[in-house]
Amino acid sequence: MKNFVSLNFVSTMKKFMPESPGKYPINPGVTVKELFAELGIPSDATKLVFINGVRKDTEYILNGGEKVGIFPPLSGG
Amino acid sequence: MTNIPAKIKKLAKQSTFPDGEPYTGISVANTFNISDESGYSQREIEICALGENIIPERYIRNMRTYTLEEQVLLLKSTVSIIGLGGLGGAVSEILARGGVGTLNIADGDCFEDSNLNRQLFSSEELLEKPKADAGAKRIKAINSSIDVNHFKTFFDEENAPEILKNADVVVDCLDNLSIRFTLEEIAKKRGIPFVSAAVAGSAGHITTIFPEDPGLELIYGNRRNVPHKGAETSLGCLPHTVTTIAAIECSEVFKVLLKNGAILKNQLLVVDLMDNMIEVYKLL
Repeated sequence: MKNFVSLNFVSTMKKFMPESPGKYPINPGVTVKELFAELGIPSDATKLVFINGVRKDTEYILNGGEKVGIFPPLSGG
Repeated sequence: MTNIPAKIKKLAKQSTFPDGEPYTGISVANTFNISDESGYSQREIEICALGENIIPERYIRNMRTYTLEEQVLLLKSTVSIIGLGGLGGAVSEILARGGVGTLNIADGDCFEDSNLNRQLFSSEELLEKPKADAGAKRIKAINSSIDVNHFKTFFDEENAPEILKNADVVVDCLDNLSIRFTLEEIAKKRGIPFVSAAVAGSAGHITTIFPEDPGLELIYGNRRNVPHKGAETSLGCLPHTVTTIAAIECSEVFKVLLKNGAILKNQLLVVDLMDNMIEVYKLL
């Protein structure tokens, strides 16, 4: 059974955006890390992931229905 | 300062706010005159005037959102601004106009051509000139009541005591990750709230870190594994993005100094102007 998550890619992470990021199918129980691998996001690309507006690490387990925000590190000034 | 209030009252003028409410104000020119005659600094004259319910006209548009007491608090505050590029130039300019009384500004760099798109202190005639000199001159030109301590040096552990001296808030306007962690560590040790921001392309983020907070590691991961630079190496730094983010940093500085409003403690305000996205995320 597939559930769906909503993916929000910011800045340089947009290059990893799949088709229909607002309704991306996942297998419930998949971790953020596994989702990243599926999307081709290198494991060292970012540490900054927000699930439903709250920072989580990449071991977080998705069940479907979550909003996932994926940000690159920025450091310009 | 015995006869200063009388001098201020003599030169003060009745006026009205745009909505018609009356106030008593004193002009910049008369503040200069009293300062010249008495030997007291312009800032001391402004603080004295506010104590007499007389508003320096230069801060009149701060009033109603801020009280006279809050303007005094700003005039008595010290903020250290580390880095005088895109963020630091705009942050310094905004804080000087707002009337933050003492600004410690630091940058060891000189201006180069690639700074002209966004760095408010830069100009064609100041190319190859020190950013800190340009900053001090600009701040004084905007608001000569402000005390400016400028440091033509890159922030490090050795010069930190001078650059952060008396600071009520330190503003991170740096452009690389490793030194940000050093600044955070020293600000925490000295018990100083730390407003940190970073930009790349059309995106940026801001947070405010207090000594007890985990801070930058929540954004960038473990300090030992962070890269030197972030996404800006491939996206550049756009003038409208960097100025927007600088303005939000200043909003945090004013709120921390005045202890009002919603502060981004353990939160990250993220902006991407390309998508008109402004959101606040919880870091904890």
